[in-house]
Amino acid sequence: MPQSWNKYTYVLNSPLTLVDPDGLDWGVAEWADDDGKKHTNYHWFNGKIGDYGGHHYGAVPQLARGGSSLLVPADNGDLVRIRNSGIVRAVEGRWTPAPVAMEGQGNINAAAGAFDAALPFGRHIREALLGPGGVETNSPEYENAAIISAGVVIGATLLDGAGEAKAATALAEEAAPNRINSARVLLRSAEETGPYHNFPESFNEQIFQGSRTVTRNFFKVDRQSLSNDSILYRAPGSINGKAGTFEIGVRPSVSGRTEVIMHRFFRPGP
Amino acid sequence: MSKNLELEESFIHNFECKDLDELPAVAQRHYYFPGGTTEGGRDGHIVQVFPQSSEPWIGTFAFGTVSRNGKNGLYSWPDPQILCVVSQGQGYLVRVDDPANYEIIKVDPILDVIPVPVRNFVVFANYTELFAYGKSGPVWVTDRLAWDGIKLMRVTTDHIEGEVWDPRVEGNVGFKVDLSNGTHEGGSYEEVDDTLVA
Repeated sequence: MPQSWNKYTYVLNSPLTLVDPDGLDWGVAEWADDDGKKHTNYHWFNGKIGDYGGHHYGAVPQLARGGSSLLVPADNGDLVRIRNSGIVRAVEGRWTPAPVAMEGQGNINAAAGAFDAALPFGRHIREALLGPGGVETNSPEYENAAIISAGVVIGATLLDGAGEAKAATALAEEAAPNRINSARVLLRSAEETGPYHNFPESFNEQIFQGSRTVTRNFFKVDRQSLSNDSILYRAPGSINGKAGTFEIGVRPSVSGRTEVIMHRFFRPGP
Repeated sequence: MSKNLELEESFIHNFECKDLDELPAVAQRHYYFPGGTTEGGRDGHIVQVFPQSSEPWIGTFAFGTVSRNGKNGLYSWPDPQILCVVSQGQGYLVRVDDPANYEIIKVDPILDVIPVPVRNFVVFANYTELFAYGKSGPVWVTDRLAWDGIKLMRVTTDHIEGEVWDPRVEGNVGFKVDLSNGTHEGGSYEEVDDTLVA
């Protein structure tokens, strides 16, 4: 078996930050139509990047340079954030734009600002759609970008085919992060063999559906690839007839794709 | 065989007691806790009690089920007629002259016990808080001090001190609880501002 197929080698020994859930590779094609209007389309390839839909696709340039991140539209309309790092093309997130009504042109600068304030990927979205540095008001991308409504929701037109608009709006990440137990949690569950530290793992999914509290810069000791924020999931429940709260505290990776469980405990009482 | 428990005698008490390995050959009144019944019950510590003003009796105090690290002990109490038994984290308060009259301590599980005779109460620790119990019942309870474990280190006339794990710094941090009212300094747990709830 080639060494490159080794799972750790494939993710450059960094499984917390580099993930490749589907193994697909990305290509980009640019062309101009009969009116001289430029078009850009992205397509994923299961294998070598080549021709698709009558157009020739090449490696995504930003990704080919390495180390950068780009948000691209998938063929099914999803927005996909991809990043190139060594041999890995990591799909970092995928969102399905909700269908929204377009209201024509608007103040894209204001919209981009609102987007930035509302969502962490605003800058990348703007740059992916409108180019580095923000907004080029005389660019064809600008003409195809529109505010959907006042406030945080922005519709961004992704150039495709004959300029047909696809709307993107508030993004909701679909996939749950990978979750792994920290040494601390494993140690505590060994020290405290009772149910408050050792309730069944099958409870986790329901607890993750409970309340979610984010504390910025909670952790004071930096760890490579891990964020300093904490997330505390809580859900009411009972053990052996005693009512209380199930708690799972996690430390997310920088990419957000992995959460390290730092605290897992059932607290009896109100 | 584990060492037998001995009565902790910080408070004046009108009884003596002995932790037994097995039931004695001579039959005596035998109560099972929880329940305070003579009909039977769960396995636990077997304690023989000798009240000053009534006949001796035997109690079987069921083990707690939450933690094997739960405390075990026999304690005198601010009320001289009451025996406190902690059986693998489950706490019982029993009137020695009326064994059917008992109470379960609402600390779950009891992981440590510190009598504070100068304040006339006893402090219990579970995984997250401290509880002070006096002759008339609960005196105070602290706010949450820890994420999931408390280690008591020292008690003075004014404070009780200990350590808790703090995930923020990946180490233990200290805390100090005011014995007069249960307020504290230090510790590792801070209630999160509700505005941050996502």
